[in-house]
Amino acid sequence: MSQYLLRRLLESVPTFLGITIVSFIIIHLVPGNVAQVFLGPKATPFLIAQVNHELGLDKPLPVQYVIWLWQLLHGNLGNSYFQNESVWQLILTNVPRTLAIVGISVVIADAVAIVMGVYQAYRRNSVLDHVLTSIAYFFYSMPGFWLSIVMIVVFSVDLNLFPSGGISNPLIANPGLGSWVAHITLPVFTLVLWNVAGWSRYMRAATTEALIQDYVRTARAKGLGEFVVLVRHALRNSLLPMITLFGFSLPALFSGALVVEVVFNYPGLGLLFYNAAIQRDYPVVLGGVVVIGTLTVLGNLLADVLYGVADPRIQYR
Amino acid sequence: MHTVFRSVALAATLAGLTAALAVPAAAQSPMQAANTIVMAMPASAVLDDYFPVQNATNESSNNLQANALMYEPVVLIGPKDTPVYGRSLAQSIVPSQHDQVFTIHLNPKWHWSNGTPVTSADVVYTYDLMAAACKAGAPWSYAQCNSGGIPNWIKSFAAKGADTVVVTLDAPHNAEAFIQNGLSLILPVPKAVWDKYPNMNQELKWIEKLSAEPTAPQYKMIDGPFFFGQAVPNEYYTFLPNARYNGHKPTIAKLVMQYFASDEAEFAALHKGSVNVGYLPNSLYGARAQLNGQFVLTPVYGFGFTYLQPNYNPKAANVGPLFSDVAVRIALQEGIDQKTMLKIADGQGVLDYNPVPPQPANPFFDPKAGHPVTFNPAAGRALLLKDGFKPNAQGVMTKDGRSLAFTLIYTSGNQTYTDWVTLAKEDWAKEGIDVTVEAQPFDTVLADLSETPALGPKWSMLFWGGWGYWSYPSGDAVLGTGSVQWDDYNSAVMNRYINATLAPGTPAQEKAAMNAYEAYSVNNVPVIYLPELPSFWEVAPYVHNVISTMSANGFYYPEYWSISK
Repeated sequence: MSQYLLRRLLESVPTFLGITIVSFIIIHLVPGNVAQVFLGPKATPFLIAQVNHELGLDKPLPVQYVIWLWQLLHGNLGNSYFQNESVWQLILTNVPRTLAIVGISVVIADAVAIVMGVYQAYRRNSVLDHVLTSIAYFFYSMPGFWLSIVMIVVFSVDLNLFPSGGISNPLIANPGLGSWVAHITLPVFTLVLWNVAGWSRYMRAATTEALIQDYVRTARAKGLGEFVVLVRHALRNSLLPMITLFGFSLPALFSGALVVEVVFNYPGLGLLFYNAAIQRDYPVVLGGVVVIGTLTVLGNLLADVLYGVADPRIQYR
Repeated sequence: MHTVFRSVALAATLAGLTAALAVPAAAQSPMQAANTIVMAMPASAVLDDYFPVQNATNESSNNLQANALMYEPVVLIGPKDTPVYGRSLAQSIVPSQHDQVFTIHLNPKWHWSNGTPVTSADVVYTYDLMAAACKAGAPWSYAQCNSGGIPNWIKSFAAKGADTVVVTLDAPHNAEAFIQNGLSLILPVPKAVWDKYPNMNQELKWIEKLSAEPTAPQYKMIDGPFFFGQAVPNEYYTFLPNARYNGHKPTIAKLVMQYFASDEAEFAALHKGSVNVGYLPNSLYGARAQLNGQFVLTPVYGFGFTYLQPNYNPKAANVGPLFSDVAVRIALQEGIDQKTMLKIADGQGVLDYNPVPPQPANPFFDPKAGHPVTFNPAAGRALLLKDGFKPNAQGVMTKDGRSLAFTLIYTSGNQTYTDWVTLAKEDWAKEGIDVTVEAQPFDTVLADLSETPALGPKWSMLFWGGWGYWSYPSGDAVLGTGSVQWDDYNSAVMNRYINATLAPGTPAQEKAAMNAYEAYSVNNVPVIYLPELPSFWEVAPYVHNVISTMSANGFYYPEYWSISK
């Protein structure tokens, strides 16, 4: 297994380099002068030339890429053009925030989706199955920003149960865990509703497929209880598609939390990278490529490892 | 008995649940109780440069506002766009030698927060930093190089005694322009804590490192009304009153500038009541009734004007040379229905056909300049025909092989602006002017602005908002040859009028020059004028003096704000 992991990690290096090269080229292909965007509409030619020189933007593109890569190898992602702070610091500040809401929502959504999917597969075509299906499709088709706004209007403004956004209350000198939980409840709840809707459908389909397999019939024939059949036999095999989904969805979750971050005023990674792309904040965009690229590679690797755990028939060499 | 008890218990439970779920009755807000202002910053705005000589790469109105909270300016510009010497470091500025020498007399009342006086040495030191950061080869560039003649008009800037600074210009210049656009930029810092290196470039590098570190000890010595308190990035920034401030002492306990990721998030916070000073996003103007009763909505005009910017570059998509024809520009202006545009904006705004806006109230606007070129597409069409244009097979006005067909690029995300350009397109079509409108994000429009002219710019006409003045509305930066507008507008006549507004003279002469410049601009139509729209401030009814104490150029002064219980 360790040889397999090492080989996979080494294989990911050229992939990673390719991603950075393509991203570097694409963001520099966007028309317009970044110094002008930087300086605003009152920039003079003198200032633009000065800024281009200060930022190294007057060098040829390949030279700029090599400089960036060299700095990356030394653990330096550069400084944001617009936030007067190092890219690492920005990412490190925002990673825990996004990790918190994404991580918590993934755990809750997975748990709920698995239970819902298994139940719906077991009791398929029952009244409750149809009701849960309708609810799932309702939330699946709902635009994320609209759902977020509805959450704010209902739970924050009308019922006054939760803050409308942000991470902390500036009036409280030392906000504790309770304040933090109150602030992330609505964003997490929104993400859970989104993800449960889709994931429960996958789980239902996978469990339905598993329940008609021979090994399930054999288990029942052996006299095992329905709960044991479901959990120890059907569920374990049904999890394989969910593991794939989990691995692939990690990077999407981080960037997909953008909508939630914007509406709930929750400053996280998604918002950081979105603003950077709009503003042509190249160092932050490339920092995002590094982070998302790494997450993608690790997500796939994690999915493969979990396959092996879930299904002992799968062996890695 | 048992049944009665159960009924009563049930009724009480229901009543309790209803009370728990109901919106609580209006009570004193936590912000009132804490005597704290929680103010919404514009969406995605951050504070990242606290040193009052701003790096060009960091300058923003929010950073400038933070500077104004911590440091006093040499000249403060007040609500009527005039200097207010009672609130400035300078108690008077005396021009002499035909407005070539300016003697600044500092008010001895001003002290740093450690009790030492603000002196001429501090003013000179700060100016030296600005001048050094405007030189080629400086480690960073000052954002306002050559604004108001700082430093390009300055021959010498020297202290004469502890309370006097003598500024000698390279030639006589307009005193108002120099004082209001130049000297008002200077927010002195204490030389004693900032002057560390004899070499200016080294000094600038050191300052750059501290510019985003407001907790550095150097920032503990200020002369402004507020100290920096705390920054929680992408959450909020706090400012605390300076008890030793020599001006109007703040009565609030704390000022919190709250970060918002989007206009929608800010609106939600207003609706929830978790900010007490905020703004109504333009995109949500239609939802303003939801805030009725919670806030007082007030329109506030910025000191600037809004316009469509034609590209005069001969290579601008074949239409650049046509814009040089004043008949074409007048025809374009005659296709702009400003009155309907104001209706689209729900009646909020003012008609404006002048680079010097009528609002906010200012001493420079000349109502006699009038608006000779108003909405009249029929007249516009007739003017084009008289000028030698003929409609081609598609009905587009054409002259010498060039057609009046171009793309208008405008900033996306503002429905009012989208409706405006759509209206202009329809009205221009009546004149035989074929316009395609294209929405782009603001930063992309800005990036389009400086497409290298030699390569052939890709834009014909841009709408990104407009121009804001610092104080004295001279046209040099916006309509002069080589201005930052990147539109290659080049008129020797306009330059003469602009230069006259920057020339020295008596107050009557200076006013006459400004009036002449305005009269020429409204007739010559160098840009296509649009109505002025205000921004909308939402202020909780228990917060006072917010709007009345704002300066004409958009700075607010929380030291005058108060919270009633």
